[in-house]
Amino acid sequence: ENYYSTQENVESTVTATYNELQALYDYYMILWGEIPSDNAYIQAPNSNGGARPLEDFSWTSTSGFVGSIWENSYEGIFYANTVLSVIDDVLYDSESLKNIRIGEMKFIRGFLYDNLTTIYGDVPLVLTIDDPTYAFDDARTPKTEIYAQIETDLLDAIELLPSSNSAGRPNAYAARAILAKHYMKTRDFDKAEAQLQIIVSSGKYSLVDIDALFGVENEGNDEDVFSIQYASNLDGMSEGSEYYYMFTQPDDQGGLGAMAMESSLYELYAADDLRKGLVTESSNVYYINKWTPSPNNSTDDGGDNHFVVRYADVLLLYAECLNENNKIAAAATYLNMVRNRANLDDTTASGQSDMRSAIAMERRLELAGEGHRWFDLLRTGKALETMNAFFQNDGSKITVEAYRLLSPLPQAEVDITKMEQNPGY
Amino acid sequence: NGANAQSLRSTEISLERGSYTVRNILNNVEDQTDFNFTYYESEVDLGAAYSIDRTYDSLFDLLYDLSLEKHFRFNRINKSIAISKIQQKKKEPEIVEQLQVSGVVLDENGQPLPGATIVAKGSSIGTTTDFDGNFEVAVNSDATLLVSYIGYLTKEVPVNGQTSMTISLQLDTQKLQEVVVIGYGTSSKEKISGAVTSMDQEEIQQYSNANFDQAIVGKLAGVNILTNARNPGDGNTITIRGAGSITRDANPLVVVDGFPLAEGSSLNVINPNDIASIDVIKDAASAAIYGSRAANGVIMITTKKGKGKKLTVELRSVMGLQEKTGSYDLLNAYDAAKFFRDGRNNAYLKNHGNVGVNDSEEQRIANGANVRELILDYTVPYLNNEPGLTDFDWEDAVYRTGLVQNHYVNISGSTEATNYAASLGYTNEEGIVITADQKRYTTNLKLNTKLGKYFKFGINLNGYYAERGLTNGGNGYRFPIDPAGRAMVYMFPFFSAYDDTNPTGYNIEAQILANRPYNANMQENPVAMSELSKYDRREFRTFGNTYLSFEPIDNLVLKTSLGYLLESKFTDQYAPMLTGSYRRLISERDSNQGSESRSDQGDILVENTANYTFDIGKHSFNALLGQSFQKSSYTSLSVNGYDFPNDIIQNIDGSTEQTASASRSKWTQLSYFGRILYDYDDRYFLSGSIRTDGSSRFGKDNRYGTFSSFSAGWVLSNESFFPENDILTYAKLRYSWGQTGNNQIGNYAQYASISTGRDYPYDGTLSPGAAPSSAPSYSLGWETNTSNNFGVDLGFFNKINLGVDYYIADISDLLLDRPVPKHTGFNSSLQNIGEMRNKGWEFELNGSNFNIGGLSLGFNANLTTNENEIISLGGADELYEGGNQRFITREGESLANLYGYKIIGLLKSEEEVAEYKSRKNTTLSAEVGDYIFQDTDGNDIIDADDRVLLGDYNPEVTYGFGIDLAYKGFDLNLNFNGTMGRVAYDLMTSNYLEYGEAFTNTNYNYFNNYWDPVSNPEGYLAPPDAYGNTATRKASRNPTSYNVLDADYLRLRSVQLGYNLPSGVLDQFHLQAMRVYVSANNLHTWTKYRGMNPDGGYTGNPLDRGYIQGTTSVPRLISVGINLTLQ
Repeated sequence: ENYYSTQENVESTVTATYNELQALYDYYMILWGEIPSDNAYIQAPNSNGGARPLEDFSWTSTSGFVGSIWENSYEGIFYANTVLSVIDDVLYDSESLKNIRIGEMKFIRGFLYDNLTTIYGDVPLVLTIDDPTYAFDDARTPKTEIYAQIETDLLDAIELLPSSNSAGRPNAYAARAILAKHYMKTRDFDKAEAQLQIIVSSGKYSLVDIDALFGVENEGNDEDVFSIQYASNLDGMSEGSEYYYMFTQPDDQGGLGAMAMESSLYELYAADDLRKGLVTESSNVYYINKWTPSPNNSTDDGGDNHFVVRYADVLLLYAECLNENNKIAAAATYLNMVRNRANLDDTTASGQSDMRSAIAMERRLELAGEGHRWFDLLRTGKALETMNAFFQNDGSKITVEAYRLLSPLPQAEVDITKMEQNPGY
Repeated sequence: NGANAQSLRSTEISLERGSYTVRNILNNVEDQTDFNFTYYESEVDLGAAYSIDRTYDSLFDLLYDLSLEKHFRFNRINKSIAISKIQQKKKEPEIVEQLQVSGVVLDENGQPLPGATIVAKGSSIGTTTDFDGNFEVAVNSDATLLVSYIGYLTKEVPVNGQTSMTISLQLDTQKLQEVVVIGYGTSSKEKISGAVTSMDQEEIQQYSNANFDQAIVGKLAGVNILTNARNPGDGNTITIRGAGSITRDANPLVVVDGFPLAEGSSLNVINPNDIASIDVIKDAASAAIYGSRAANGVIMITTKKGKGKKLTVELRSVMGLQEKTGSYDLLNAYDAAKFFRDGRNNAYLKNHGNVGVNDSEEQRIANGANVRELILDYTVPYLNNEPGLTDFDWEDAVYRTGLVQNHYVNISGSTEATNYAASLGYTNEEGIVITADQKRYTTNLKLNTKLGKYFKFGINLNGYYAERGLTNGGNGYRFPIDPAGRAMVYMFPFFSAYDDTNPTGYNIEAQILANRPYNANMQENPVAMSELSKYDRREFRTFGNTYLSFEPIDNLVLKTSLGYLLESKFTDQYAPMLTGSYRRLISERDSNQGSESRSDQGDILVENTANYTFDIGKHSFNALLGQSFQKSSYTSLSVNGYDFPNDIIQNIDGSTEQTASASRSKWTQLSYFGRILYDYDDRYFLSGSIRTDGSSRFGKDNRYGTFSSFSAGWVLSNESFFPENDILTYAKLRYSWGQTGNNQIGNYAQYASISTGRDYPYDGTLSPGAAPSSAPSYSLGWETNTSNNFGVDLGFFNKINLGVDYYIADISDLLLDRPVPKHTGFNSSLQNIGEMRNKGWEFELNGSNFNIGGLSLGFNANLTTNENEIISLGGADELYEGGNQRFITREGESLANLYGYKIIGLLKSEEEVAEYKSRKNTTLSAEVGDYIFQDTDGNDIIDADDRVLLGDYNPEVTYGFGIDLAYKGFDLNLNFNGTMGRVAYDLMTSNYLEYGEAFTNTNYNYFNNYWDPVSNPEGYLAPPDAYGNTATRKASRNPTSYNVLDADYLRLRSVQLGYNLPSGVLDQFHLQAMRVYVSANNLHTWTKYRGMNPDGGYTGNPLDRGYIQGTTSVPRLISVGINLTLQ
């Protein structure tokens, strides 16, 4: 507690909170968003970092990623809680900066709880700092209670965060995007539409050329709403990412190919879809090439930031809300913006249901490999239907059962607390 | 004389019947007898009328009637009769008949005993002897005098009308009346029902040394002191009744004149000459009055105070020489040449096919030999046995004979109201390792004075200043390395430490230059490095306390005391350009480097106590209530400096680049305590105590700990049913139960700590990140010691005492990391969850006053057993410590067992290898020259699972014994101490001396026993191999059944022969006493241990007890001394 007597020290823990996002999104959050879905699979044998169960729906409560996503998320929440519990008493250079930091911590906390509830369902809601041994009696908090907190946190963040861009930090629009996505998860499309409308009408963001979208040199472009920061050659090469190494084709950079695109998805790209250029074929395996090799000999020192939300995502979410709210023509407008950028013609979909499918398809094509598909399937309630159909086509014997829509809680946590395991595990 | 012997009853008087005044009667008596009267006229109405109507036969009868009628009190003392008025109207007349008795009290040697107490039995009349042992007291002529003195048997002397007597006291060998300091008070050995063991000044003086902890070694049952002090002035590791913690410090609390020092404080601050007594409180019941600081026992030190009316000056001087006792038994140059040759040949033969040991250097290189497979060219003359070559003994160069001086003066005395003692001590000690020395100055001041009738005031003040030269215990390269450690063994005997042609006088680079072409050891000369560089420390400490006490009614003492401690240390290191850097020539070295650091500690202690002693019939009570507050703060600052332009200005100011680090910490404790001591008729003793400690070290949700205790004692020999006999003269049973705490858990363990390095690149710009890494633990508390103690004290023939104790101490709430729910943001939390048990027996036997002719003999012996068992690790199966899991701590076993392979043989031929491989697989290696490890689990695979427990460092038995002889003025005492059932892992032996890498020098045990198919086919140790160590060989560097060494020893700890000058000679020089003596410490050690010191096995981490690294030899000191007392 004595540590938090200066702005500098509080800032250090603010930074540590972002550092936790870096750890979370370096690997498993991306895989979790892609591998269980019909988008991608683990290609390289023996190089999946223990992620293979994501592909064949065989994860258990002791799978490494089940524990590490939990751990990193809650560490981030703990740091955010730490900052929030001390910052009031610390003298800051400016009160407005202090408020921005409060907004950032609420943003991150809301964001992490949204992820946690998506993955695990009910989870313990921790908002204060205490002796951890008091947590042995903790149980899971009902999702609805956490949703209320997510909404509060993100609404507060919207109030507190600036609308201007700030290097690597969220602004109010980022908070609106995350909140909108959360509303969509709860199928509150009115509230979601309202938030997204503000982003879209702000004129702050625009779609950039596909070839100016990814890559270290294009970071911070007009499409970047919120991204997690990685950088090469910094801090003893500890600030880079593993994306290139893990997700691209094996090559002299040491790529492992832990994630490859399903050929069925690849085939969905129209011949002249510019986004097809982001996929590389090698020996009949399709690798997503949205990432840059490490500039040095360390395989996990790639410089690419990770888009948590980019404008194309916002437009497609907005289209989805409009469609759900029966504004089908308006939905088409925003869907077409994304299609046109990819050198595709306007959508031919008509009617709410067709439009819904078209938007979902566009999200797959647009956001492939960026860690969205499985969570989209969960959000839209199409996960079981889609995946069981997929496996049937695939000829594989896997049947996805309903309990798989939630991850088990880490077994170690269930063992030492009063938390009950999710059914089926 | 006659008159004195005559009683009032036998004095005749004759008075006519008739009317008198009182004055007339008194005049008559004075005229007729030798008696005269004294009185105050204001009290005695001389003119009052009194009529005599009977005839009196004796003066007694007359005075009796007078007393009855006039309410006079007659008090006869010798020839005078005092008259006073009886204040209360009483029916009974009062005539007291007393004698003025004078006499002298002498000790067993016929020397006067000052301060002895003389009391008339059954009364409160009494006095004490003056400095010459003289006393005067007025008592009833039929009284019996009780003459007592601490440490002596109380003597009953009937007066029988004598007015002058000489009383000789005998030493009380049972020491039952001996004052025992018990914390916030004193008691006597007889009344204690816990486990307290003591040493007095005389015993402390038998071991001549600057530090008192050395003097305790082997003397007290249950108190185990490792003689692992490194530099002069360093302390030893003290353990009372076994290891007290798994992960924390377990230092006993040391209380000096009521001031509790910080645990683990330097004991160099206390001059043993100032110590009057040491009392070690071992059981929890007696220690519980110190609550959360007492779990590891309490050592109470009482310094000397002034006594006797005359100013007394005591002088003590001792001078001696000290040297090492242990040895690494290193090879001389001719044998070392053979050893290096063998190691290099073996590597060459093994790594290349079809080669021979006689191949020349050119042939070897042509065959692809590595430089480590070439014969060191400069050893060829040694191999040819050319006489007169350099054969340098590095052990001799690193160790030296050191001069030790100790001088001490103490001035003491007392007046009616005040007693005082002041001392000054000076020690100048050259350590046995080069550059290690100290100059120490100590002072001690003690003053107690009465302020009027109700108040007392006193001061204790202890001062210490030392200038110390240190040797580094570490193995760092830049600053002075430990010359007596690895560096010495790295040096080859082919090179001398000295070189007259070099301006420094040292041969700095010779070994580096010679060995560089061969990639052999390129250690720098450690003698030069130590002598040319600097590692000095100045230490200053003063502590003490002041008290004021108030006694409003008899035996109720209210006392308030204020204590303080100030300590400051300054450490100064400098490494000049010439020194420092393994493998590098001077021209290739880094810059010179300096370092200065200072630390300061300040404590304050405020205590208030109320102590009330009272009797109700045969029931005696002593009640104590108290409150204590202590605060301690610590700061340190350290600066490293680099790039000094030259070596002239050797302080930080001369450096061009500096880095600094600083730390500060603080802790406070607030306590309340109470105790009741009760005894009935000297037969039954009960006591109970309770203390509540609030400590800043404890978690905020567990801030107060309460520690209680109970004890009971029964002196059977004071019972009427106990048969009077001369054999079993004393018998007592004791039992105690109590709880104490170990608060040595760190000042801030309850708080989360912050870890840095959680950085983040905002848009490519790095920001430093930091966040809490260890969990806060708001319920964190002390480690608890709950102990039961059973004791028996027996006395035989009034001369022999036997004390037996059995103890079981359950240490619970041990601090260990416990996994916590991760949704808190943490992985684990420090918790009070472990449990351990220590149990054992203690025997103390002593006897004295065995007289055979003029020879007086005494003896003492003690023996302690300790058995340690881990009951619970709070969920973890085992804890490992040390590289490659050298130590294992596991539930159901004792703490810190050595863990490794059992060696059952050596593979000596390809046939043996083939046969072995047909039976066993191994994850290690199986080549000629590899050890065969036991297949413990019998699965035919030799792997890490085959490791076994190889024993631990906790001795099963520690013991000591001694004998005292006195003949006329001569006295001789010898003391031994030893351990049994203990093993150790010595880094020097296992990794260098007997590892056979042919990279360092080796010892003769290895040299004589390594296998060679031709020259030593019976050898059982793996042959030297300079290059290409196998996996099995590397594994043998960790603990194995060969290199885990028996660390038992028996040591002749001290011998002292003294002579007390007879009084005739003393008088001639106006001396009170004079003793001259010769003394020897550590004269001889019997041990099988193959290292420098089997007592070095404590690194401060309980989980690797028995890991001996960087310890120096125990010194042997031969000295002569003189003690003088002047008045």
